[in-house]
This record gives sequence, structure tokens and C-alpha cells, in this order.
Amino acid sequence: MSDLKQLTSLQFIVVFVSTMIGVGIILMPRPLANEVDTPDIWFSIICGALIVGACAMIIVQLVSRYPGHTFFELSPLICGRYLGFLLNICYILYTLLVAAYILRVTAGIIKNYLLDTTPLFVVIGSFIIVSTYLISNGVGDVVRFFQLYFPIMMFMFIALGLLSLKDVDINELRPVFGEGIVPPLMGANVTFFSFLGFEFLLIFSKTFSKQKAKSLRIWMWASIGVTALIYMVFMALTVGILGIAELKQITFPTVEMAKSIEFQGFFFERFELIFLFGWIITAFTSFSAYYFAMWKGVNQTFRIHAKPLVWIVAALILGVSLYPSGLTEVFEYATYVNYAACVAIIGFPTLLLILSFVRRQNYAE
Amino acid sequence: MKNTNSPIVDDLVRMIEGNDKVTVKTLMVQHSPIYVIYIASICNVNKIQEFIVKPLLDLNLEKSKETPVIQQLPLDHVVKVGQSDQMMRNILNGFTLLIENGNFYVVNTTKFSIRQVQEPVTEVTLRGARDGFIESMEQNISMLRMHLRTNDLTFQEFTIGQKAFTNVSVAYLKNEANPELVQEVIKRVENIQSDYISDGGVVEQLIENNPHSLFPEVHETERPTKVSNSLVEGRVAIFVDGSPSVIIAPATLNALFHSTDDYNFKWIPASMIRILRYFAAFISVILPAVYISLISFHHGLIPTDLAMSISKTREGVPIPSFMEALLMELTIEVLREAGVRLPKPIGPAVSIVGAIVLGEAAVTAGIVSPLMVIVVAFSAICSFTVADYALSLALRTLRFFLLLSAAVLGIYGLILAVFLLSIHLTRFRSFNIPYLEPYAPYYHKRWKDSLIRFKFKKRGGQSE
Repeated sequence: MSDLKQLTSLQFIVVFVSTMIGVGIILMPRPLANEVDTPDIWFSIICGALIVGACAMIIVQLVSRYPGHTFFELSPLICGRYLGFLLNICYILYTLLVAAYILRVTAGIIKNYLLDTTPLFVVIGSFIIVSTYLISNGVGDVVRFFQLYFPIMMFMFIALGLLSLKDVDINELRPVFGEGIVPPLMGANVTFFSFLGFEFLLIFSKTFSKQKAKSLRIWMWASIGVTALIYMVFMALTVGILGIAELKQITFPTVEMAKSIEFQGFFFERFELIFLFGWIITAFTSFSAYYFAMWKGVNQTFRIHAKPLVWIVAALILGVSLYPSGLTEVFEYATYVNYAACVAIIGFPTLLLILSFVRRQNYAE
Repeated sequence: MKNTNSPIVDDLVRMIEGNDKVTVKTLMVQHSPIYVIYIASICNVNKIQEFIVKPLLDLNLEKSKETPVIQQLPLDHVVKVGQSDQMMRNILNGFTLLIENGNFYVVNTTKFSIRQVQEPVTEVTLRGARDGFIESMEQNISMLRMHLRTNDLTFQEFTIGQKAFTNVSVAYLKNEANPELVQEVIKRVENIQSDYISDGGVVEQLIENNPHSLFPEVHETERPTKVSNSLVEGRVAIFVDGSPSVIIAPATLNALFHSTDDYNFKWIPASMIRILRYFAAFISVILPAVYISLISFHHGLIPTDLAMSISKTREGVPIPSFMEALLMELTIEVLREAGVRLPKPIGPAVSIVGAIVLGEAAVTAGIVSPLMVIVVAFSAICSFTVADYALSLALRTLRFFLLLSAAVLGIYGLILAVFLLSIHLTRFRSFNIPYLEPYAPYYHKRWKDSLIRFKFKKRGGQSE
């Protein structure tokens, strides 16, 4: 276990933004366009962010009652050994599902744009191996890695945003709220899942165990705000460039948007490479966070700490991510992943918080 | 050598028997013998004659008998010592051993043959002090003291090595260095169990925690100003007798990229050059790998016109591009090594012949494509901008690793390899200091001397 001092506010925001931005930035536009069907999809992100913020507050409340405890430590504390064990297993399964989902989508995009003839398991396997190296030494390394790549990631996104500004057709974004406020509001049920990752308040809890609930709340809102801002800018850009009708057809609209950027006379013509690089970073950070959560869960639930066992976890993720036969099937399973996410990040914390209130437990001293 | 009638001296003489360069003199002063023992070849014999032997022989007998005769000699520093192994060490360090009534004293009469102070060959700077360390620790410390005049400067001396000993000195500023860091350095130096230490480079490897990592865990320099700057920043320096390179711990990647020139020029150009150096190092590591992955995996990502001309130049090249790159890289490495080993006057000639003639001929013969030569040559030139040689070695090795991963999985493999590398660096610690500090973890206060060196404060402090 590598040592780690308490996170500062900036580091906290960096870690959580890195965790939250993930496959959503590439996958979200199409289902969102299908759901909302007006150019106001950016508004759905604000709604999604507000709901996510509310859920995050439940978790903050829970964390601040048990400072420094991870989900896997506090669930047996609250519900007793057996029920706690069961909850932990469910949570581990949830992280497994999400990790495998992120991995499969990432590998799909990489295969689609970069390595079309390489076997899928090679792409996935190498990704897992590198991630295993990152997580095997503890939370400190994970956090430092996120810090290192955050500026690079932001730079890529900002550069891409600025470059694509030229192609934006403002008419595609109009009319604003042409069909009222209800359709974009409904879009919140899609955008919500693009913010997955905020629940790691319950996993990285050791790194801010000395913080007050109030500052945690502010930091959490700030992280969600930054994430929402990035998503909003990119949604607005994709709509502005591709148009809502086209958005419904394309599988990876954001990459296509990056592809459409053209600068004559400039040596480098293909900007999707820059975007893909920035995006692989975000996918890697999100995946590593889930992988780390799962490894931590296995560690703390089964009380095993032998490092070689991380490969069993890796093999599980590899197996699950290779299970669907194609990307279409992956998107079908995504619905189930979303249901699992609802249970795991809204249901479990709420249940635990209520039980904790009922049992009047408080470890905040 | 004759018997001296003193068991302790006899013991000593036996220890150095067969070593006829050791001089043992017996002087009768006030009817008791005083022995003078030294190795003539490493001592200033004139000093011994002038200030030890002569005064002892003409010593005024009426002088007080309370203070030992030896303490009355006109010498600057006379130290009383105890154990016989210490005596032996002192003699080997060029000290003169004096024995009076079973008491042992040593006097510094060292005179090793040493080289003149010169400008270090490996670390060139445009401005600032030109003196470089030499092989004598005493001289090196005096050079450091010249650049750093403060009574905070503390030295701790050690002797390491079992078969032959080497003097090592740990230097730090009492009020600047973190006591934990000083303790850690001292602990690691004390723990060295080696028969013989030939150079600072050996000490460097023996105090490292990560022998398998490519990256240097400590800084090595021959410039006194670099040591003084580091000490002011709170680092610890290790002087090794007989070695012109001084070890500075801890090292961070950021510090390894700095050059003393950065502080001697105005901050905007100095910062630009520093950014350029980071960029060049990055290019030198990654450019061949990017080229390979674009050529062999992602033709589609190359701009169309360029792709056309590349394919034209690659026409007729019989080997796959990865082998081509490997071949050229190896050639560059061979040239570089040859340039280092060759005598100075013909070194550059070989580099020029190698670089121009070999490259040109290889292209004309159709073995490699001209673009490959450009890529490899440019990345080699970029790697020369890295200030620290140990770091540049690490980067050169890494280039091959990245090349290999790019050859296997294209850009994706390259990205993963870069991730792997950065994970390694985020884990890596030099004397418990994160290697990537101040970038990861963020230390805002130290960003002022990272990618950009901010201007110096006019009133107090280093920079703002």
C-alpha cells in the first residue's frame, strides 16, 4: 500500500472528474439524441448533473458518518456480517459489470478506429495488464496517475473544442426549447449514467478521511460541475456540427465530430487521433477506478491481501468483457448495467444511511 | 626495519611489513622515544621535516613537562587517536602518526598528486562558474565552500569498503535539509557492504532502492555550483574521495531536466529553453515509435500528400519498417558509443563520417528510406539536449521499448507503453520523494521552478 496524504480540493476534483468522464463522452450522444430528439440535449446534462449531485450528497452524508471507511468496510458495520457480506458481493459484481462494460466499449472503439485486425482479447488483455500495474500498489498511485494525466486530458479536450468551433452551425442548435422543457428533462435518465464514478467517494475515502462533510459537499458539486461543463460543451459541439438527425445514426458521434475537423495547410489533418488519445486516458482512468474498487472490495470482503490474486480479478473482468459477441449486444447489456448502477449507487447508500440513522451509529469522531 | 622496543609500534610495523615505502623514524626526545610514521609518497615530506622532525630535535628541554611534547609542535591540528585500525587508516590517508609514551597523535601532512581544476567535460554551461570537481575530496569540499559560505553547511564523514576503504562525506545544510532525508541518506551510506568503492557511480548504485528501474534515483554532477544550489534547496550531497562526481539526493525528474544555465539568464528565455528541453526529450523518446506505428498500422492517419511521398520513398526498401527503424537506431547507438570511446581529435570525425556518409549511402543503396533517417537522426539530436547523462541513458533505452510496443500494437500499444512508463514514474520514489513531484502529486508552491522558471524575487526568497 503506497502512502498518501490527504487530498487537497484541487486534487479531489481532478480525481473525481477523471473518474466520471469516461465512455460517456463518446457513447452518450446517440441514445440521448434518440431520447430527447430536440437540439436541447445539453440541457439534459444539467438535469442529469443535478440528480447525480443529489445522489452524491447521500453518499457524502454516509461517508462523513464513517470517515476513512470504504463501502466494503462500512456495510458490515451497519447491517451486520451476513447482510453486509451480501451487499459487498453485490457491489463487487456491480463494479465488475461496469469495469467490463467500459473495457469492452473502449476496446470496441480502438478496434474500430485504430486496430481493425487485431484480435479483441489482445486489445483488452493489454489494457488490463497496464491497469493492473497501476492499481496493484494502492490508492496513492492511482491518485497520482490521475493527477499526472488530468492536465493532458483537459488540454486535448480544450484544443479539440476550439478547433471544432469553426464548423459549428448555430442553426443546428436552434430552436432552444422548441418543444418545451419536457423532452430534455426526460433525457436526464440517459445522462445520469454518464456521471458514474462519483460513487467512489466510498472507495477513495481514506484519502479524504479528515475532511469535513461541508467541504466534501462543495468539492463534489465542483467535480460534478466540471464534468457536466465538459459534457455540455461536447454535446453542444456534436449537435452543432453533425445535427440532431445525424446524431441518431452514428455510433460514435464524438469521434466522427473530431474526424470532421479540417485545417487546410496544417500538417496534421486527422484530429480524431488527438481526441482518441485524450479519450483513451479518460477511459483508462475510469476503468482503473472501477478495477481498483473491485480489487479493494475483494480484498476487504474476503480478507485476502495476496497481490497475485489481482490476476483473478483481472481474469474475471476479461471474461465478462469478452462475453458479448458484438458491440450491439454490449449496448443491449448496457441497460442491465444501468439498472445495476441504480441499485448500487442510489439504493445501497440510501439503505445504509437509513439503517445507520436508525442504529444511531456515528464514527465521525 | 629495526626493532623499536615498543610492542604497539612493533605491531604497527608488522602490519605494514614488506611495504618499504612506510617510513618509521625514532627520535629520542627527553630520553623517551617519539616515533614518527608516515608513507613518504603521499605525504608532504618537507612539512614533516620542517614542523615535526626539526622542532623535536631542537626542542628546548626546559619546557613544561605537563603538556605532551607533541602538542607543543608548531602544527595546525594535532588529533589524538585510539585504535590501531584508525591509525592505519590515518596513515593511508596521508597523515603522519606520532607516538609518545603510548599516546597516538595524527597530523595532517597529506599530499596526494591531484589534477588541476578544470571545466567538467560532460556538463557544459554557457554562463556561470567553470570550475569542476576533481579527484580529491578535500579540494572538492573547499570548492564547495568557496561557492557556499554558510555555517549551516555540515559534513558527516564515513569510511566504507572492507578490503580497501574509501572516504565518503555527506554534506547538507542543517537548517534547510529535512532531518528525515539526512537520516535516510546516512543510513543507506552506512549500510554499504562492499569490498571496494572505486567511484561515486558505485556508491550511487549501492544506495539506490530501485536497482531495476531505468531512471536515476540520485543526481550526479561535477559542478560545485550545482551542488551548492541543491544544498540550498534542501538536498543532500555525497562526496566520494577519489571521484569527481558528487551525488545529490533526492533526484526528481523535474530537477534532472534543469541546467544551471536556466538560473543565469533572464527568466523568459530561460523558461523557453527549459520547455524546449522537455519537449525535445519527449520527441527523442517517442518520435521513432510514432513513425513506426503510423507507417505500419495507421496509414489512414497520415495526411494524404505525405502518405504518398512516404510510400514513394519506401519503394524498394526490402525490410519491414520496424526492422528498418531498429537498424538505424542501433547504428546511431554504435556511432554514439564509438564517439565516446575514440580519442578526442578523431571522435567528431567518426560521428560525421558515420552520420552523413553511412546515412546517405544507406539511403542511396535503398536499404532505408530517407524519412526514416530523418526521424532517427532528429530523435538522436533531441536526446542530446537532456542535461543529465544518466537520464539520457534511460531515455535511450526507453526508446527501444516504445519502438517495440508500437511495432506490436501501433498507436494503441504506444499509448499503453506511455501509460506503463508514467505509472512506473508515479510509483518511483527517490529517498521517499515522489519522482514526478511537483506534477504528480501537485505541489503548487514548487511549480514556480518546474516547466517554467519564474523570475527571482528582488526582496528575499528564491523566486516568486
